Amino acid sequence: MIKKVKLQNELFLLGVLVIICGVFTSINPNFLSVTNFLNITKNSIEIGIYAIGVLLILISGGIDISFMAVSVFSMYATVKFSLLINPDMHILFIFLISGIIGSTLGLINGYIISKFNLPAFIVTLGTSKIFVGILQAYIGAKQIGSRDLPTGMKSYSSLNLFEYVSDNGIVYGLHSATLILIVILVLAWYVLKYTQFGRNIYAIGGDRISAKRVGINIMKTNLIAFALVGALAGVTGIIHSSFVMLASPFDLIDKELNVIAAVVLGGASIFGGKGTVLGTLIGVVIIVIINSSLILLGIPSFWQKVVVGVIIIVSVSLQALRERNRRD
Amino acid sequence: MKSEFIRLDDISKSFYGVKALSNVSVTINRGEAYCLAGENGSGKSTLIKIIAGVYSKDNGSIYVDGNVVHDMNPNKSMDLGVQIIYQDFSLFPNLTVAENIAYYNQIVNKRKRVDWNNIESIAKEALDQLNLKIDLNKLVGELTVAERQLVAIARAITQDAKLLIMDEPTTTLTNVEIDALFEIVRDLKSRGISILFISHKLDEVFKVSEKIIILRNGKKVAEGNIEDFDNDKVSYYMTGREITSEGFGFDGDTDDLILSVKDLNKEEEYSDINFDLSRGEVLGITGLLGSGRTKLANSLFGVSPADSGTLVLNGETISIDSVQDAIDHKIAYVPEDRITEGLFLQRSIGNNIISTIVDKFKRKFGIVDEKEEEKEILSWIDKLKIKVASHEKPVRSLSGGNQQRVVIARALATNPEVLILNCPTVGVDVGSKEEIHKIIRELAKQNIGVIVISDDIPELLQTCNRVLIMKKGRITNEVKISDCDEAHIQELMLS
Repeated sequence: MIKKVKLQNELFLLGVLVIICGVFTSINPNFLSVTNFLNITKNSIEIGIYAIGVLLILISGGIDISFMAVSVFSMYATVKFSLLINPDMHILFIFLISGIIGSTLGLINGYIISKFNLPAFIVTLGTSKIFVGILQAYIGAKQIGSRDLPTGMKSYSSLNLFEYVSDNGIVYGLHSATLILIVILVLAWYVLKYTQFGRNIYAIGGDRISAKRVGINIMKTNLIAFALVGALAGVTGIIHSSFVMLASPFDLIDKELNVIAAVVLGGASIFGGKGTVLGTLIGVVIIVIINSSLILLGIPSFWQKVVVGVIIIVSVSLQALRERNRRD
Repeated sequence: MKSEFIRLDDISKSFYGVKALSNVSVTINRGEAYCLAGENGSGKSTLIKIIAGVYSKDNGSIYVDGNVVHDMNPNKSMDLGVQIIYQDFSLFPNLTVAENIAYYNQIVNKRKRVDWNNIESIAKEALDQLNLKIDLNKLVGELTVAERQLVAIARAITQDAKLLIMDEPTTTLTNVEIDALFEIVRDLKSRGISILFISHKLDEVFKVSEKIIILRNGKKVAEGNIEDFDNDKVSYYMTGREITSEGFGFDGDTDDLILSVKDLNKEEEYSDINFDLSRGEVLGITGLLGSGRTKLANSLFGVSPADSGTLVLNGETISIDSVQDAIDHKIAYVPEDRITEGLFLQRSIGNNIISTIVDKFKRKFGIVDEKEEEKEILSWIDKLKIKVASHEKPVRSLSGGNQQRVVIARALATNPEVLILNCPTVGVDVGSKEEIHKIIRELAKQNIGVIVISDDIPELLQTCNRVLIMKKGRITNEVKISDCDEAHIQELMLS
């Protein structure tokens, strides 16, 4: 019964996705091409991994808008560190270091929020500015171009699973980071469904006081959740930087809303307690398709912002309506 | 003699120098049900929290199974078998019935992984033990209040509960549901589980309790077998004063109609509603939850207008399509849920009282005449005997009974001709309840028409001269209070 209800939301989203694809295909038949598919996949990797982190926090009843700041901080600091210590450092170490820096920053968020019982929105708004400020003031304010990046990242940037040469000779590939996304999706699904930590996240988001009364350690659960978002943001920062072949301390900032829109569109409740990995994935794909296709269709990019804003407001309104109906 | 489970010996507790409990001793035996009675602030919840380990005692000792327990804390208390079912049940609305029931088990056993088959079997076993049939896969948020309570009980017994403390278990249930709950309580007792009720509704818990403990001002003022107590005696111990059951005698003119309701209909809510209300009368409307009583009240006040039918107020046919219409026609409404529908909890007591009549104090350029405002506020505080340190304090600082008086004051400030009160004393302690009843009776004597909607039959007996009984959206009976008793009305409600 419940599985049916849950799936209904995902089926609905899938329907929306199919309709969107149909519309874009009818406008531009090239939409249904291998190259476009590979493009959409590549564009979904970053937003997808960020979105899983945001999903965890939303389910727990909080919000994080500092993850992009955490991401750029971890990425740039790691690149600087690698260039200083060993420019030929293995890419796995680079990921590891960036993930550790990210989770540390996430822990700071989680600690401030749980320890002093403050609204997550305000705290992460504050820390995002602090992280970026510290990054640019103390770690560096210069862009590091493709030639100067650690060699591991340079070679990683074109590490494709397979390649495809289009008619006009351009090489398209399925990037190996797709694997990272898939592993994270599966792990997140497993954690949320089959570990007590995952269930505790749902419980805290559902009713905080009840969670306390059944003996859930709210502080610990929150800290782990925020550390995970931070780690995911750190890893994604390196993926992003490798994709664009640039490590810039000014990058990524202010792109949070795309990710939050995808997660909310995917059915995660901003009131906490609800959300699924599958729904989030579909939400991500829809946002990516809308954003990239609007460019293909020649619609000016500022309209993307309008569309993303509308998506957030419509999804949240639907949630609020559902919530109200349930109470009556 | 049943064996002892928990014994509190000479317990005292102070908060910032104020004694909340002084030298209270309580013994709870296995398989017996106790009723813990007392007004708000009598120390009931402090006592419960000491048993649950939320508060630590200043003096005295706690014994469980004859062994002294030092440093009681919430986890230790749960380990010893103490389970509290809070008024809000403390469940997770977004999780399934099965997961809610098994949650303690998961946490207590420190499981890291979730085995869904195991969760289902734990939940099934608990529900089977209680002979309950609730869909395990339903979300708790979709259950009725009564079902949620049962889920909370089921969750408590998965932890091998030895003492179940239930905070106001009956306030949100209908009579049928209460009977079902008490059936379960009897069953739990027969298995050696002790029950401690905290309740305002004495009649109900009397049915299943063996013993009663009464607190007043942090002291135990009475305890004993429940047979030796009756309502008046309990009220006396709780309040320290004699509370008399007065009843309301209507001596006005029955032809002096203030409101006539004719053929009122609303699809799927109620139909063929006809009744008259005379000046100076208190008319009761009762019925089980879902009988349409609240929907009818909402229509009379314009919250959800009727589909068809006429209202005649003072001989003039009126239509009420909105709350503003009702206010314009001098109909005032005191809602059931004062917290969400009635009060601005953060705002001051004074602001709340005059919130419906602010315009009255507007002077030139929209400036408010604060002196007049204050005069009005103070007059209501005086008339309704609201106990306040200052009317500038926020409403949330008041007790339930005083909050309810603020809601009534606000309704009366509009100078109504018809006053509708929906469950006016829910969650109000005995002493305040009597006083609110007195206020209602006095209001009617000032020649307004009063309608009291309630499922608390003693309350109707106290306040009304006539009662309409609703069932499935229709008025099925009308009785005069002077020639009926509680059992009679109960029978009519259920038949």
